[in-house]
Amino acid sequence: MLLVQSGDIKAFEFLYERLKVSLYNYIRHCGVSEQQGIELVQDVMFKAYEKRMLYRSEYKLTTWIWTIARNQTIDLLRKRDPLKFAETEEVEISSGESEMEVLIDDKIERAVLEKCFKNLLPQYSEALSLRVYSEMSYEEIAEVMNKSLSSVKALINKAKKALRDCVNECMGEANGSK
Amino acid sequence: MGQNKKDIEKILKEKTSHEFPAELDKNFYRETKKLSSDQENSNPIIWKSTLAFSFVLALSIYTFNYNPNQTYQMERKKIIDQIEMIKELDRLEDDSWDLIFERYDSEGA
Repeated sequence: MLLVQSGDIKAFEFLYERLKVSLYNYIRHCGVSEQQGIELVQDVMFKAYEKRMLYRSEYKLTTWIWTIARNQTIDLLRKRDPLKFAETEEVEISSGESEMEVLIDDKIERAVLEKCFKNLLPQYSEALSLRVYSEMSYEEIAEVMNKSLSSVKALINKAKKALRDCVNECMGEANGSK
Repeated sequence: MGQNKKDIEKILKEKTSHEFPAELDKNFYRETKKLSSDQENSNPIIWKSTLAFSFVLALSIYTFNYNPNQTYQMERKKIIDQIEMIKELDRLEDDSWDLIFERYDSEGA
């Protein structure tokens, strides 16, 4: 990042190569179209370049860029559907919330998964997208989302359960109709 | 029939990743090429601008300090002094002329 800050374009391109796939997938899974996804990834990267002198090395670089990505995505989604993406109240947290492994049948079809993912509440799909596509830790996700660690764990756990229930329901319907 | 169960995060990543669009790379590298080219062009512009600015600054300082009236006043005083001296010479005896001219030569030269 020091090289990027000094205006080194090659270093900036290297950073782009490292992040482009995960950024694109995260943004698309927040509910934007392919064309908007292309524009947003560019916007995020060039905004990061423009603001490069504001980056401080005590923060992790990827966390900083993911924060820009999240903010830009939310701005776009709010313009499109202000009611759906308005600030939501804090998710109810039980004390000692911990990471949960949720298992589903790996034979599940893509279409079913996509449909169930789309039906999730925005804050659930956002948290789960960050977890799946950015591969950040829960602590880093908490920093990006500006939420407590417990809130993030709770959001992701609820997202996984909701997704699993939807998938099982769809699979059950499919099996029942056979 | 046994089911193969896997972690939902892994399955999501495997099955729902979008194909990466080539257009994104094309657009991105087109913009970084422009950035590189702008960087290369801006260096001569910077030193030429500095040179031009220094010239304008020097010119402004000279113009601010230059006072034509001052030169005119000095010349005018010299002429008056010379006229006064000529009037004085007219009243003096012959041997005092040399003294006066000596004085004139040392001041007027």
